[in-house]
Amino acid sequence: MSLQFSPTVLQEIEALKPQYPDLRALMLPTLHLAQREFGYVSEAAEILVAETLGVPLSDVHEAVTFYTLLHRQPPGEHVVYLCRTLSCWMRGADQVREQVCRRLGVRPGETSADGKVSVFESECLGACEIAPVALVDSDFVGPLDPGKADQLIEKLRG
Amino acid sequence: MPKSQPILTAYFDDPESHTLAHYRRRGGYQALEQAIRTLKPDQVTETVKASKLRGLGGAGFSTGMKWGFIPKDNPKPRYLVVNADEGEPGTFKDKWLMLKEPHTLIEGMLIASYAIGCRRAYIYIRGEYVRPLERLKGALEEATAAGLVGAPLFGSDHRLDVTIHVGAGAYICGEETALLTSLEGGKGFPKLKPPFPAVEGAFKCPTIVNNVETLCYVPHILQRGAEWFAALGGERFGGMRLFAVSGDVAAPGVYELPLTVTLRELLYQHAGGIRGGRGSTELKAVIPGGSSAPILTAAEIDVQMDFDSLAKAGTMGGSGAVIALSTDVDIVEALYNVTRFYHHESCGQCTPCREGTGWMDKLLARTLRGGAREGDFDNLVRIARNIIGNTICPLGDAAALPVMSYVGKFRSEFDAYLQRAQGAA
Repeated sequence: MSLQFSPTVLQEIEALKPQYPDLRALMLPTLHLAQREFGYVSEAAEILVAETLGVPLSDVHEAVTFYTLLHRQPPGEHVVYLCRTLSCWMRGADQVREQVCRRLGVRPGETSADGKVSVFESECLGACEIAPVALVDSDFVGPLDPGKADQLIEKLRG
Repeated sequence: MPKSQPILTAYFDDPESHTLAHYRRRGGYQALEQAIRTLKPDQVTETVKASKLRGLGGAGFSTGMKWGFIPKDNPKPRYLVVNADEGEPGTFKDKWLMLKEPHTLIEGMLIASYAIGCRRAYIYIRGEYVRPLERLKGALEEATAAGLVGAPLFGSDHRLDVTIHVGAGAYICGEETALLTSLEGGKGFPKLKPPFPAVEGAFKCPTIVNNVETLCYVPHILQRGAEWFAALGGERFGGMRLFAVSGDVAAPGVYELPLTVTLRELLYQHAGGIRGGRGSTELKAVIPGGSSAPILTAAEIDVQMDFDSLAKAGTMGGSGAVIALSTDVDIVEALYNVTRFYHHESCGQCTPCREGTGWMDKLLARTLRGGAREGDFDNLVRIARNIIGNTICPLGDAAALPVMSYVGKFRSEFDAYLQRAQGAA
């Protein structure tokens, strides 16, 4: 059986329709809903979004591969984005990344073997006042150093 | 000094500043009511024009003039799009405005929509701003329940519906035409101007795209008068702005100051002075308006922080993001970081930017690996020159300008890499 949206998500999509002049504009909102519902945007989810909005699958695929916050593989229980851009780099982002990756035994873009934490490198997250910073699920955490990064990973692994 | 009394940041320390009750207690939404009851839409635009408010997202264009570009005779719907896709490296001011003053933004949007005659607004917010998004949603619910959003306002037939549209991670979508393409459901490819969005923007309809901070000043301008705001600034610019200061300073953060402040005052009197990652207290260079801005040396910081003075100094005010680099920072490494950023974020639509940023990134990476070659840095500047002006959107220029200014002002640091490479060979 092919992938389906839950009734809740279908309702949310219906509520969005009158807010835009055409269905194609629901692309990002629907992809976000798909990611919330399924955890990531699989090929099956791309097909579902294309069918739901009546847009070509190629357009959906193009969007999914363009935007960095859309996951094409299932991420871990927690998602950590480590900022690497100027202000964070100046304050030690490289050392933080090395520590996080060593601790989890991963490279940026991978998920720890226990499935708990995915780590991504990110460009400027908009939190340079607490550089070097990480976006941990929904919250900015910083300023980090290798020691604090260790504690953060321990906490996320529970 | 009454001149530098904070405006938008006055209640940042109050944990309730984001609530409708708090906003009402300090006169919130009165400017909107007054505007709708006593002013015609054109008069609102004239007031904003007279205040000399300029776009605080990066371009610094007159806000009132932009609103005036909406064609009067186009029967299509009009849109207001709030650019909350804050992504210029070093910039974090709009995040704080959305966290602390979401109702100021909504009131600014309501006033702007009345001025330009639009009934539907979108707030395009970057996907990483999860908590600011929650605050915005909460404020929008409050404003809707209070009949301010989605209902006729103060006995007029003007109403505004607001939709929050969440981005998904792409620096380029902060560029207004790319933002509109993204809003329409595409990947974030910028469009050629003209037509400018005011004539043909979102969904091929007249559209005004304004930055969060710009709109937040609007209610205050309506309430206290265009003259008051204009008088806070100088001849060609009004008011204050939020400077986001980061990098090698002792007290990074958001500072709301008149645009007449100098870069030296901002760094030393407000941001606590210089403090490098390894303890240096000596300034080497400053980026005064986001990473796209040409760099200034420590000897060039007695410049006033308004758009025109910074342009005259060969750089730009941009998004108001100030990044200080102490003598702990290697300029070549810093340029590599910035160039890698633009390479990563180039959307790939225009060949000079797509290929040029890649070449510059690779050349600098090779330099840092110890492989600098004779003529490399002249080549670097030549690539940058061939990007500038040859792309649809300003990202190409934003990638090229740092290269030209870093190499131009700190050539000896680059040449030292060449000498080391030749010595090793």
